[in-house]
Amino acid sequence: MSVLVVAEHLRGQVREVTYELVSAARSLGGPTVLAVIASDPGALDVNRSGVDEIVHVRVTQDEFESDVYQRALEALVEERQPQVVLLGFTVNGMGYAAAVAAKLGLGFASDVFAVSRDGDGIVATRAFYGSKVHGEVEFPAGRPVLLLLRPTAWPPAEGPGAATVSELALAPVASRARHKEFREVEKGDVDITTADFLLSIGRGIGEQENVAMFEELAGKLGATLSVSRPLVDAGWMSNARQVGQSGKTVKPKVYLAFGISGAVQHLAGMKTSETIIAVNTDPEAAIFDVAHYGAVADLFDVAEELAKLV
Amino acid sequence: MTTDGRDVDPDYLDRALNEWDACATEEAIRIRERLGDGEVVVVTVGDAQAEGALRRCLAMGADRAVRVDAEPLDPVSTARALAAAVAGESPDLVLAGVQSADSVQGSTGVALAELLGIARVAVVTRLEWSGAGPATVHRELEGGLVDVVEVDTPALLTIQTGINAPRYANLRAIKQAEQREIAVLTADPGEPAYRVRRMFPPPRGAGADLLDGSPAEVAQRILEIVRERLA
Amino acid sequence: MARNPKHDVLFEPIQIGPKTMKNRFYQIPHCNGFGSERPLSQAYFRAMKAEGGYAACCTEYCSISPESDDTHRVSARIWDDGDIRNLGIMCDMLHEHGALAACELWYGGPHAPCMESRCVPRGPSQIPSDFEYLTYSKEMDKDDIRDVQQMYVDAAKRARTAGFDIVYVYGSHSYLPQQFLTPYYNHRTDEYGGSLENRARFWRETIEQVKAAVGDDCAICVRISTDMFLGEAGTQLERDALPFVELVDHLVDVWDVNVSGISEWGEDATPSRFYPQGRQLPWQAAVKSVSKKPVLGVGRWTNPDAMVDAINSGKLDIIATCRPSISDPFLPQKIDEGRLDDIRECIGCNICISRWEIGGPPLICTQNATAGEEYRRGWHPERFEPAANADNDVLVVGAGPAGMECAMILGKRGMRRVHLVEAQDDMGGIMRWIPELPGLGEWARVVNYRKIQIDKLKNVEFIPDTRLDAQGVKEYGAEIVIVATGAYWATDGLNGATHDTIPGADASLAHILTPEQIMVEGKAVPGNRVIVFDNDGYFMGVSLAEKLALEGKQVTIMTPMGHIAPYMHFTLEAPNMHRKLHKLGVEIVTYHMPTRIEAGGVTASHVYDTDGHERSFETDAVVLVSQRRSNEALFRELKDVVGREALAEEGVHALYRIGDCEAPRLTADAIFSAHRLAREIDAPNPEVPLPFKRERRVPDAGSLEDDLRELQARREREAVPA
Repeated sequence: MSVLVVAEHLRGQVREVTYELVSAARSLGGPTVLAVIASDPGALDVNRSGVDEIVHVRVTQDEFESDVYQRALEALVEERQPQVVLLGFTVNGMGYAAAVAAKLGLGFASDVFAVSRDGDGIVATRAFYGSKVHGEVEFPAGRPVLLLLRPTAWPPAEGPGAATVSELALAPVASRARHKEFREVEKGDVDITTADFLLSIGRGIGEQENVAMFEELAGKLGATLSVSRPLVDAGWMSNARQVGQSGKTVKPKVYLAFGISGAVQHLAGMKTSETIIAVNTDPEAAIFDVAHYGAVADLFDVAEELAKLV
Repeated sequence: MTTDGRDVDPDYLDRALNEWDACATEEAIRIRERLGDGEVVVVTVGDAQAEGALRRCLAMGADRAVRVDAEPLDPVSTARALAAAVAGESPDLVLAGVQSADSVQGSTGVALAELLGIARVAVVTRLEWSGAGPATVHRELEGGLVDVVEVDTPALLTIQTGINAPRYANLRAIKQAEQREIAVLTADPGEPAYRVRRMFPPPRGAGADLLDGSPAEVAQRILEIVRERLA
Repeated sequence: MARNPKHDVLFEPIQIGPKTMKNRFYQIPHCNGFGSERPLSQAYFRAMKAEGGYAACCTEYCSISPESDDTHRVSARIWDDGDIRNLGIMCDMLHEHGALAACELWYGGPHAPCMESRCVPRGPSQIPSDFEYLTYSKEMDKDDIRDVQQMYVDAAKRARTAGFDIVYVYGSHSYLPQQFLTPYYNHRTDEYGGSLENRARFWRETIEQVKAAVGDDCAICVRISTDMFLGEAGTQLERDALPFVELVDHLVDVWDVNVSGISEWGEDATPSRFYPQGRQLPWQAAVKSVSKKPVLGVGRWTNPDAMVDAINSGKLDIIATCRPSISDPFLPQKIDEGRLDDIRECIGCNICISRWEIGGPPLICTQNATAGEEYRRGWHPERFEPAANADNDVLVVGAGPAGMECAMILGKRGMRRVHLVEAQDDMGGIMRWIPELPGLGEWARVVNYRKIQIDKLKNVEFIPDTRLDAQGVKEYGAEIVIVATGAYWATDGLNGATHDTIPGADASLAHILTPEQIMVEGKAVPGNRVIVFDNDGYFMGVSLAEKLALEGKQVTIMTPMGHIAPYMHFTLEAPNMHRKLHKLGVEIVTYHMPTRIEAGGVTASHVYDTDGHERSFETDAVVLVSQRRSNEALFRELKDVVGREALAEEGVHALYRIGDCEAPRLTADAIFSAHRLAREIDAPNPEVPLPFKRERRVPDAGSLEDDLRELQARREREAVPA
């Protein structure tokens, strides 16, 4: 079973999700082909363990453009006939993958977090109904399947690889949607609903005096401090920072929770966060049900160590 | 669950307009208001119960609503069901939500754009368009970086929440929307791009990847994850 | 939803003497203003908790004799057959729900003023009460001791006849048996005073006699204050309480353990302002360490995880609640069903207690408008009759406590659509900023609960950031309009003492502020010295004083009244509030009314001064907490300017107002007014509350005649002396 992975890059750097796709590809067995679509493909280091072949697709555009990646992927699929194509369920991936699937009549599924072989084909798992249920999906036989994989669901492939390198020529693509420039987003006032990174503390921190150390840690990490309701009840924090059913609903890129047990009302306010990391001394804490990463550890020890690292 | 274990029993489902579609509808209405001209048509694929969401859009101020009576299965077949209805409107702009709240496919819009043969940009957080010619949009990348894109029209844009605050409809508008006619079309979605084999409640605690080791090791790992996710 | 297995222990039955509780939820003795003389209100009130899952419910303190008469406060009474019959109704209703009935036998001694019975109470020593004044008791001799002990026995038998499963020999908070135990009350030199063994004798003997009389049929409960916080003179844990527990443990079936005396019983019924949940665990655990019997105790328990901890860590066997059972009688059932976000949590405001402290009124609850109304108005906290006029759309203007409550209840009654429209960006109204005052964080639960409930109601939509004027209301498209726009603090010093404004009081000036200006607008309090002029009577003045003092200001509270915050005496918050203000150096000036406010100072005169003396007070800022005014402009415009006819033309056929915008009042009452309107939205004239049931004797013709005949016979036996 051959698997085609398309690398993602931004401003000259390969994005981590690329290596996660390689891990996923390896788990399916069969040769893994990694395509790099760039103005200077050779400058991007993708030769990791697990990649059997690297295909350079030279294009004129420096940054991602949807029509370019669509044309390139279609050429790759036509030429290499992979059984499976893996992209990241990322903003870039969302920009062109479904177009390719529609054009070529491929099997298709997005936000997939588990995939395995199933006879001659594959089976993928994704969530449905607001993540309340999981579903296994299968695909039409006899044609390639294009999957968008959920970032962080696979570990990144590590270590140097021994891939061969080849080229695929592509006629220049005139994009209908053209990249003009990048802009950094200014951060305005503290609003936990717009923060990308929340460091959230709960009853587990114990005393009011301990709030300060987490405030400091948040500052060092570049995170915004948020809290669960007991701390607002106790008057330690304003409810502007409260995450939960009766506070604010947040969906940051990273939600790092210390000493939050995961009461239903709190989970309702944060469980759709992209990455949830929970540190709690109680292995039964409900927050571990929604967390992507969990550590059963002493919050203060971990917080102290984190502070040393930044 | 249904008896074949392949879906959730519909009796247990609540139907509502999801927040991405609300933002998309709001953005469309704002464009009409800014240009002082234009028609906002809302289209969906679904059964009669899907009309509630359409009426909500009408109450917000959309001009017309169309329902394609078909079952929305996967993004590609859903896009096929939509294609004829949308093409029939000859739109200058097609706005869709980035994703739906229930199945989070994040793909139907872009598939539709392909079938319509028009340009597209996904995950749009800002939209500027004079009413003719290319539009300038902001595409929001992971980590908050903005990609400024110029896109030829007609175009399909998938709209991200946060682009605007969707307006509320007062009771008068809601009542008026109840009375509006919704055109119903049929379409053939064609072959689905995937088929659900089974659905099941997620295993408890299966989610969390346990970070082991000393506090120092845990802290190290946490920092790596944070940096990667924000990059 | 199902119960979280973590909470299973709360639902394990437990044996107490000859009885079994089906789970670990116990409603501790507490007052409701109904006693034995409003028996149906009493019975329906207690039964609601049994329906909600409580395994045992107790009366309030239950007088065993006319000598123990707490009038003006309302206790239960078990003096005679009529009381047996009346309290028996409560027992029957509790039993129907599988709950045990408990009776807290009470003899008050010197604390009971006997203002109805006009009897003389008996006590261990003749020292007037620390809780009342002008109460003297007769110092008990041996005959008195035997007599009173017999009263306990007779009362216990009456309780058994009525159907009670548990009888108390109640000592805490400092009633007769505990008075004997405590040197503070007991200055005796005979075998009932002096050593611990002597001081314990009365209580021990009483327990023995009650147990002998009814112990085979009823569980014997002893309620003891393990520490009165009165130093050497009061009951102390190690010196008195624990040895006493060990002494009588073999006689007792279940211990009810608390702390505090009666004059500061806010140390037991802890306001959330000062104490967190589970405050008494150390004392409860201490008793558990020496007793072989089950121990129950209160702690303002609302969090099931904390309850489970208390039991699993061996500190308590049974979770007792008073106030959380008032705010949500269905607490046990909601935990059992895993519906934790439906729990209407107690906020620890003690408004319920304040009604008993005032003496007379039935209890009310800020969170639960149906508390006390179970019989009187037939309200059930979890059940709602579908509205007969449900096919109407409702606009509620204002999402403060009243607006939220009204929208929520209308939603639960199935109104077709309810739009709750709010000018600010979130629900809560005044309850958004009041919980920001020091110590009041838990009061935000008023908003938390309603937010979650409204979010669940498909027919209720919350629309923020929308300020509707009369035109907007008219055009909104609702058939029923309910205005809930709240109230504001007067900006001109208008007050209830002089019924006039205060010259120079103008909150548009930099040095004069109102509570909202400080808490909502963030208006700066200039300078260092602040005078808070307070004629409100409740917490606003002192809470702002505390906040400003904590920020480093030099604060003076000035009031024309003789006390600051008199209502806080009723909520048991006064002693600790005074301690706080004292520690913060807040000056208190009573009996003074400002006559003039200028930048730099306030001139005031003593309210009883008749010679025209004035005093000057230098200050940099003045905070006006003089009185509140309704925000009635919108309602007035709709009713008076737009008019009902014009509204009707737009389809609005009903216009009401609720809460503070009608008249400023306690949050409990604002929520009540909203709840009542929603319950009665389909009554013929919803603006006027439907009559409620009054429990009173209405003698029939026959009994009138009997009484008259008896009186006439007596007159004939009497002669008027020459």
